Amino acid sequence: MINKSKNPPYVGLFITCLVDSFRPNIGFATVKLLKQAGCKLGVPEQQTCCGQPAFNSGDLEDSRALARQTIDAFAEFDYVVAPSGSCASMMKKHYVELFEEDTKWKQKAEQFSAKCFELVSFLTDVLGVEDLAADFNHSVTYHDSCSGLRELGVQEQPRQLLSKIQGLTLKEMKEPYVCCGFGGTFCVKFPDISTRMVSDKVENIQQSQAEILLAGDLGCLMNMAGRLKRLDSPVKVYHVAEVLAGMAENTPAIGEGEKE
Amino acid sequence: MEETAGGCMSKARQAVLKNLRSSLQRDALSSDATAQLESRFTQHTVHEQPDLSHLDLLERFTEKLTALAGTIESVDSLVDVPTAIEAFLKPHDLVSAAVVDKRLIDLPWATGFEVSCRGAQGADKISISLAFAGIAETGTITLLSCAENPVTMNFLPDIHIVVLHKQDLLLHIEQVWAKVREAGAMPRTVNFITGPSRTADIEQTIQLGAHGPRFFHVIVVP
Amino acid sequence: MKSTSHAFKQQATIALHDERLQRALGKAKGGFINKRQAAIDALPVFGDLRKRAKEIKNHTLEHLDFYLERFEQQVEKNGGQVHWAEKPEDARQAIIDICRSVDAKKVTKGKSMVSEEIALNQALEEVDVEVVETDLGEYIIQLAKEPPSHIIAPAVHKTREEISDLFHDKHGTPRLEEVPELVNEARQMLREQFISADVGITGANFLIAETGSTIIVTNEGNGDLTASLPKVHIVITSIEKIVPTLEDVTTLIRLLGRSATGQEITSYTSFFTGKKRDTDIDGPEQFHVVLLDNGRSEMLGNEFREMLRCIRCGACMNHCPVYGSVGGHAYGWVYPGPMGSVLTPLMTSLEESSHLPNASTFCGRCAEVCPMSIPLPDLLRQHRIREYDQGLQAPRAKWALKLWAFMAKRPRLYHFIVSKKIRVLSWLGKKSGRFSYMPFATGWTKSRDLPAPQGETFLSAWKKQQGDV
Repeated sequence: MINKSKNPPYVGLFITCLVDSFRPNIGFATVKLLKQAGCKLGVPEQQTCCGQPAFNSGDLEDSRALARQTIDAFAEFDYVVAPSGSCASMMKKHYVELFEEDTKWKQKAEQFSAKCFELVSFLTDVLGVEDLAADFNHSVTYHDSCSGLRELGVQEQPRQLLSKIQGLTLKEMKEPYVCCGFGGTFCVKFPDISTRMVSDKVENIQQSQAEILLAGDLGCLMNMAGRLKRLDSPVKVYHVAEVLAGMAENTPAIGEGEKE
Repeated sequence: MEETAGGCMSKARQAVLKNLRSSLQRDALSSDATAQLESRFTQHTVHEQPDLSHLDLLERFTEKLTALAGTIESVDSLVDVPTAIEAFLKPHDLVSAAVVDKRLIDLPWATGFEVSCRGAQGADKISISLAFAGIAETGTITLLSCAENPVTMNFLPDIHIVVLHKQDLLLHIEQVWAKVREAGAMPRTVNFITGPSRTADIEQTIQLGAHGPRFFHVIVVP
Repeated sequence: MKSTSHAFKQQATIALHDERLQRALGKAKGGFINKRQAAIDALPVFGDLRKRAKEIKNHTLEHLDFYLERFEQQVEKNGGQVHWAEKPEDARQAIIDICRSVDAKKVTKGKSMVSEEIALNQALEEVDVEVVETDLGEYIIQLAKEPPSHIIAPAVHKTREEISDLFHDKHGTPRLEEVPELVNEARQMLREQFISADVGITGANFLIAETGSTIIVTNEGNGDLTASLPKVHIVITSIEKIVPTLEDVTTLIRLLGRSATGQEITSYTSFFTGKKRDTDIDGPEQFHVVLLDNGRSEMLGNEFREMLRCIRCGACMNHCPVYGSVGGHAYGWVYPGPMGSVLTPLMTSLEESSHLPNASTFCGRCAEVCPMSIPLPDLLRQHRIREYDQGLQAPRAKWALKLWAFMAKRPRLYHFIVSKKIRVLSWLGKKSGRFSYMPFATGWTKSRDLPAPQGETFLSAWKKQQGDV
């Protein structure tokens, strides 16, 4: 836990390619949460992708190039925070693996890794945020995205913060920790299996009887929202940051247009 | 392939060992290195175990054995075993004949009860063994293959009854190894038996009496 | 066993629509998962055992040559024989030679995945040796002429009705419905086979260097009848199964049952050391151990070494959402699920089985439940790295990713193109907020809507905001 009475932590926002392209609201919610918690914020322009698609496709050369680019882009910051467990874990856990043979970059990657965090766990574990002045009068259910859960240990923290939101009821679904079937390129390479996995997940979401679905990763959220909408489900899908920042109520949910 | 099987196999043996050493990036270990490794064989280091020190051995053994569908009773002395067995067998309504561990042959068997000391055969319904040890940790009976209790006795008959001396009831699995080493070398077969035979291969439904005995009964004597 | 892994996609689709299979898989999954969890909750030292087990195995692998030689020495001391087999054909030939030497007509078999790996049954049948599988699950699939679909429960894909039909058809007996009746019929059918077999072949869950012992961990008793009744006992196994001492193997045994079926111990755990002694009344007169390599010695020296710690518990596939959806046959070879997706490319070829390492979201549940701490997703990724290096990926997918990387490495170009594209997409999807069809993404839109972008990109909006300030 950092001592906030000293200089405010200088945080670089890693926006992630999906949030940048598809749902900037999550980015603005992240900015709001970090500023609220007393951080000084910066958003370097030289960021694009953390390199995970290349890494998981076995293209180490491009992964390294993107890792170097990202590490350099965020050199000036104390912390690098991403509203995504999978991007954060790529940077925190896997960048070091990319540079086993390269002493200079291995060191840089290690230093970089130490300052990378997923958003919600950064708020609770590093900044010590315990309460949020937000309200949300709805029942919600929370899906544990795999990378955040298993690589970064993000599980209790979002639930902790959600419990402080006025009017919010958490209705746990069955097996919230089971994969939703997104898996990056997996969902387009193996669409039938992915559809089965997301359908099973949707069944659990519906059984929970929650009005709202939340998670910490936009890839998972788009996958689940896409299936919910195809099945004409009334469940609305948001990123947990949007609810924590009080920026969900008047914004169309993921996959919903202005009229809804 | 060479004509002699031994020659063929030693070619493969050489090839496998060579591949292993090449992967390990070294030659065969020096005698100093192997001496170090040999010590593992004499130290018999016991690793982490479940903490069960506070439990009563017989209570724990009974709990674990019965959870896996074994049955158990205690009698005051060895001479009471035949009567206990007769009572146990009554509801099973089988022929009064059993293959018996040689070490138990001199017990006062009822006159109508036919006992033999031999390997079990397909038609045998009942066998009665003497346990080498019991393991309270898992509710397990340990039997060593020997002239007195051939292995077939443990698997062919429908009902397997085992007499266990209370002093042979140990806590942890590793204690059996210490006892085996004390008794000499490993026999052809060491059986750990915990309850009757079972299978779950049909729709994950547990069914007792697959190929081994359908009933497993332990009689504890002092 | 001949591989059909190249047809994984088609096999998976068939499996997804197979109602009976889906019912069977649904029944099995919950059982394995819940039982394992209960067993682990009841064992506070589980975490310590896991650490210790990894240590024991790593130590053993580092000195594998020493421990295998020591094992061989001990087997011979107890009147047995060790046969080394570099490749599957060597193992098959060794076993055929042993069977011929005793003029064997009939062989009973305990369950052995290594015997599937070397396609033993077919080889024996080709030389007129009758092979009788005795493990109930293996017996069922032998009757059905199917391969196993799970390494612990080979017939997990079959419903009770299917088994009733099978027995009725193949035994020529009246059709039975209830599980006890079906099991009892199998017991009767196999009893005589056990007794009349000339050779018994089992696998080994572990080998112990200290004593030259082989171990089987079972519940039915068939393995023991197979090992003890015939005159000859052959153990077909592989080189990485070796463990140094009896105490070392005890740690692994504590992990195996719990991880596989939630059992603290199985009904039978049996340790075989050599042939029958002169004082024994029964037991085999010959004891042979066939040690198969089949690529394992190579794994010891490359990025797949950690896979050699596998104790074949099946926990990974029991928890895998992909295996849970499609079952084992979709994988097309001997070993399914996560561990099978690591091993199959190594034991067959990467070309043949290239779908397998890709059929994973890297959710990591397998690694979480693996008692031997094998980093399965990392190993699957290693196969993807090899595929990339060998140019085995589908060209369209490869070039799409290459294009992505090209742009991503050039931030200004990336932001320029992406912000234009997103503007168009968001305009197209503004009213409903989603697309029910998207060219080049039909894999997604076939069953899901694609949420539309909100508007401009975050970075464009942010830049504007900062400009305003």
